[in-house]
Amino acid sequence: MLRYALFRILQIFPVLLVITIIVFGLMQLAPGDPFDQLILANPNITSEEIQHMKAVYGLDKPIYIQYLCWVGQVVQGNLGYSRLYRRSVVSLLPDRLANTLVLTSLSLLVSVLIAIPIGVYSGLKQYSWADYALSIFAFVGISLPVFCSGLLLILVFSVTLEWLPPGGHYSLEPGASLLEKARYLILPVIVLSLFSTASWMRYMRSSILEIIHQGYIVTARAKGLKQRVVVLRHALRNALIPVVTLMTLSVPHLISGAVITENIFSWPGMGRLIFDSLMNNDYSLAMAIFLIFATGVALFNLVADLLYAVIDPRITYDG
Amino acid sequence: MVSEVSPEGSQWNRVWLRLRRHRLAICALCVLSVIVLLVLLGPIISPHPYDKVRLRERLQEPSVTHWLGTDELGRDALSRLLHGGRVSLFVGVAAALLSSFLGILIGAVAGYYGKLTDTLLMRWTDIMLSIPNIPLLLILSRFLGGSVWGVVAILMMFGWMSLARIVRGSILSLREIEFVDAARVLGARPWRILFLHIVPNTVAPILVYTTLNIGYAILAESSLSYLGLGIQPPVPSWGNMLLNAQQHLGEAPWLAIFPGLMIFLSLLSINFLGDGLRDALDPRHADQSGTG
Repeated sequence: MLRYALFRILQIFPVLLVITIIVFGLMQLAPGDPFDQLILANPNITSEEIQHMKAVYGLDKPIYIQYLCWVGQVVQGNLGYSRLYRRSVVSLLPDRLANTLVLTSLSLLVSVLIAIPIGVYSGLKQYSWADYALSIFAFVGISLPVFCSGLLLILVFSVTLEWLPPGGHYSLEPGASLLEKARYLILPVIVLSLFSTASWMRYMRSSILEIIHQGYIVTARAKGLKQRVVVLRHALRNALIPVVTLMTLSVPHLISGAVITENIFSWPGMGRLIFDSLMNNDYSLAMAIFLIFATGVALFNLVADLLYAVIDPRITYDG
Repeated sequence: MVSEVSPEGSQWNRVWLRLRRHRLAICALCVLSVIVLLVLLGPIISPHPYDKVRLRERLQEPSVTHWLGTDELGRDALSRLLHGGRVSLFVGVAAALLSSFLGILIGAVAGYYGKLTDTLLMRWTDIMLSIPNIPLLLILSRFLGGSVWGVVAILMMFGWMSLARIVRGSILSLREIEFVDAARVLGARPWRILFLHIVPNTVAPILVYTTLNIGYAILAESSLSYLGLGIQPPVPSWGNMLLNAQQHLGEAPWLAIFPGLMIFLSLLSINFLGDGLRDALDPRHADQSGTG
């Protein structure tokens, strides 16, 4: 187990290497050279002065040295300077990160709480009308892009009924009660959790269907155990294992969904920030956000794998 | 279950028979055909030129002259919907075909050559699968996007991973089978063995995943265009029509409803069709996922 854990932790380094290479490569690709702007701002600047500037900033060094310097800075927590906000990127992040975490974790929670019971129910009642209805709902949820469901909900609940705000953040109402603050979260959370609810429901359903015909379930039934005990103690626990794996694998998808959701509802999180930074040509900020997203997912996968090894006793990692 | 299938029916006949029993998939195929037909005939049947600006007729409600109303520049929404569909569906199909091709190539090479090639390619696949794609797509399309082919090229880079894994898996199991040995003994080159003997035997998952990939590409294109980073106006696509519509949601909701509906219907029918195809091509899978 310990060997597996160490091995798995070491595995994260190649992933981080690739992520940083992608980010660094993208920065090279970014349109517009900082020196072009310098020349535009001051046409009298000489090429010697530009060379001097390049030497000052280390931009005359070979590309791999530049990469290593950059990684060295990132490791020390220096993610660069945002031209758009005129502040260091790191100082921008805490608020934004917190907002994104609130949105994604609430959506995750809602999805799990809805998807698992409904998936189990749907699997146990296979081919009933409820199963058909839930399956169709699942396909609708999978096929409805977040911006479609987002616009639809804004149209119904904000424009027509005027029940809920069409977007924005609860910090706009400083003195608001918790209930009033929650109103800002309802639509974004529904929109973001729809896809994961629908697809996890399907996973849960097929996982239950696979388990329910196993010998030990038949045995449990034959012993005269109640349906509730059979389902909760015997079927659900085993059926959850593959579902949990699939759930952790869909976290990148959730983040992608969050980026779009934040933009629909003007939710001031990381997704909104990456969009604003790209639109204002603030590429160092955009890259930093992407770097955080990708590293975050890699670390999340690491933790999930380690927890998984602890939870599932059937898998042996040593040997 | 197989009783009505004649024994001499070819494999594809049987697949078609099984697909036909999947009622939702057949409905989906019909809806999809109607959408494709409408969009293909767009230039002939659309009542107005899609880019004709009539400022005096802006934001009109649906009427006899403008069936789906007009947008903020007085352009006919139906004509734009049909033309936008050409763009969206073309991007979807092109990106899906190209990324499937890439996936087959990478999966086949990894599975057939094995060893270090396999390890490197599969680690790369894992990493690509674990990167949240929308942030990266946003950055790339800001740098390279805008044109139809730019968007296709960007989407191609993100749709190949699942198929690469699946093709690799089936190649690992196929490459030890006798007919592959026979081909090798006869002196066939690796590429010939791969693409003439092995890949055709993995056609079922390839077909399913390419179908689902079309949906994924349509979704990604419309998401990018909705955020203003995909297909750039004045070229309409369903995604950027929605972006436009959002600014006039209160006064002209019809501008949002129809492009949204088209995206939704296309994705829904592609997903149903993919599901039906999966059941039809792999009957063992059918009793676990069936929706009809």
